[in-house]
Amino acid sequence: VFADLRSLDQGAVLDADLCVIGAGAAGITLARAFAGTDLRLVVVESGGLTPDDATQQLYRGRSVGVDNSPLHGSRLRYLGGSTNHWNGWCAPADRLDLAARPWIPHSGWPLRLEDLVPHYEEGRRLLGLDPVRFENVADIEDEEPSDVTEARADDADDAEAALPLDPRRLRTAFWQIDHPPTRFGEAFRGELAAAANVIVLLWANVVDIARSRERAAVEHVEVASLGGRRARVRARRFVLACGGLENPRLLLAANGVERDGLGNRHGLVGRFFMDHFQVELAAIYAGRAERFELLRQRRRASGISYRPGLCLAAALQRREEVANPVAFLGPRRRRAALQPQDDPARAEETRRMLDALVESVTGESPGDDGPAPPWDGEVIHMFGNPTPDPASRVRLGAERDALGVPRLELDWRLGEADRRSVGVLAHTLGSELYRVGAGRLRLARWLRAGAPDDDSWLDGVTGANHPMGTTRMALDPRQGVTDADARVHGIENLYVAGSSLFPTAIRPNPTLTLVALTLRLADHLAREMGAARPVVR
Amino acid sequence: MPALWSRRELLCQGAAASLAVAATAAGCARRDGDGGEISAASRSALWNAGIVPEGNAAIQLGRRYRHRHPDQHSIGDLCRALGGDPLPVEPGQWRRAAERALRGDLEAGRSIELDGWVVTLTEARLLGLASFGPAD
Repeated sequence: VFADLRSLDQGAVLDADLCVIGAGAAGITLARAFAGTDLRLVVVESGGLTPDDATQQLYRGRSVGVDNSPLHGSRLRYLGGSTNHWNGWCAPADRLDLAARPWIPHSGWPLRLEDLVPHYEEGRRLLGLDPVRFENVADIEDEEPSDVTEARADDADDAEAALPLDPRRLRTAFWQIDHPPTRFGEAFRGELAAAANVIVLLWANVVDIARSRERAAVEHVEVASLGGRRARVRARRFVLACGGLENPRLLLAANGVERDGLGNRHGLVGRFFMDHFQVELAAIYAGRAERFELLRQRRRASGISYRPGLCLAAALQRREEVANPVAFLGPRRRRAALQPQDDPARAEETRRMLDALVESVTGESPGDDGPAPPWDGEVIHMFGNPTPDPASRVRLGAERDALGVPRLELDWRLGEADRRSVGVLAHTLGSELYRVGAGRLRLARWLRAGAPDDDSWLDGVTGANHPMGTTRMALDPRQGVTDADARVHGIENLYVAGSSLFPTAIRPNPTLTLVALTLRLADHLAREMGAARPVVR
Repeated sequence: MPALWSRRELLCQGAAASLAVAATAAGCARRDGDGGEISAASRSALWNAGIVPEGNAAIQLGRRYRHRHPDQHSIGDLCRALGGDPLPVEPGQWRRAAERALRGDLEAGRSIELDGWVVTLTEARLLGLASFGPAD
């Protein structure tokens, strides 16, 4: 059922078994998981059922690192959270994303892909997706085969008849596009309204997470409306589910007992901020039309669209000691205007000369004059998988919002390792796409020999609004904020849900994985609290 | 396989590219002397094979390649890298040698970036040869 903080008595106290802070993808997934059980839930949501400008302003903050979207524009603060503007791109993590890689400091999850598989399955049903295709284990060296390899979708296999890439170098990875994207607030509003054991408290902003002075546990959360109405939610357990930026903000601001914030004994809350960095890699000159077309998104019989991405083979990532970026065909973006462009006429002349050269040697034309040169059209983009860096972080700034909570300051960093991963992907793509007849690449200037060896490449970079890592999971409290069950180290009844848990960035967009992690957390909480939760069939 | 895009290689490429730019600016599209390192018959056969590209674009890319790879700076070095030893003396032999080399490059993923273009080593060598021009 829905309730409005503004209509409660001043100073009201609500008691619950479980208090969920935030009603976005993670919070609503958790609430649905316990709807109809014997547990009493209170879900605290800052906004209402529709956007509200004054509430949205609470997200304002300052960005001092790599240029990124404004902090109040990259996420949404009402029922459904940022799913109200997501694009619906879904794919499971790659096995290597979760592995500790010696060449990537601070990498590795305290979970294996197998631990997430059943939850991915439930998550994709929740999102109405086709069966999830996991990476073929044959692509991974030195690992035991597992049942994960069997969970392949026929549709995706057909789609992968795409390009005959050399599996030692590149592989195709598909996103499923949930279209139209599931807006959690709209999609599950009816279920939440009908759930007698769930109170969704709207217009309730958490202004403090109050820790007991006697024991290492949260006693209650203090909520306030913008108009000054206040209430308190007491619960046996609390789950922070406000997204990768707000989760650390609330922990850092909850400093009534622990001066540096809740769960921040080792100074890790807010550190290791990561976002997928997007940058233009290359112009592509189409090769044989039937091969070039395989780079495009296509819709399957199920109605789900599949978008192909091209990733470095796991073996090559190991050999070259790089991360796991992915490239795809897409339209040129505004941000690319910040990078110098080539003269299209001269480039086309060179392209024709190179094609003629190959034809003179092999007797075969590498192209068939398919789509026109795409200088103002499609280019190869890259979705970079950032490496974890403790200096890349969010922290509390000096300014406060309308409710007195310190605003965020984001210092996003990308380094040489990130740039190098992109370079390896670009070169490998250039050689493989040409070999299979899909097209010839001309790399962006910042990737060419002689490009400045400095940070100027970041001028063309944009974030993807996928904040990750700020309450990272780790078995060792000195390495992470939360344990493998998503419980905040050192606080017995406080959990975190969302992409802030990801200790290493995953290759695809985070939503499907954060939903899967949340369902895993729901199972853990159900066991701890003696509840039987229904599973999405 | 050596690490792609190591910092050292990036720096080397940067230096070579600067040289290439300087060379291009000094004599745009002029062809370079070759030092007469291969027999006239072999050289004639190579150009008669029709596999060495022509035009400014080819010459400029070829110069970039040669400046970046001083070990393949001369026509003799390039021909031996492309045609083996002994060198072909008939156009058909050159074509077959180049095709074998190009397909081998594709199979092995041997490529290089020249002014942004990702080309196979064989293409790069043919471009390098283009910067010498045909025999008089």
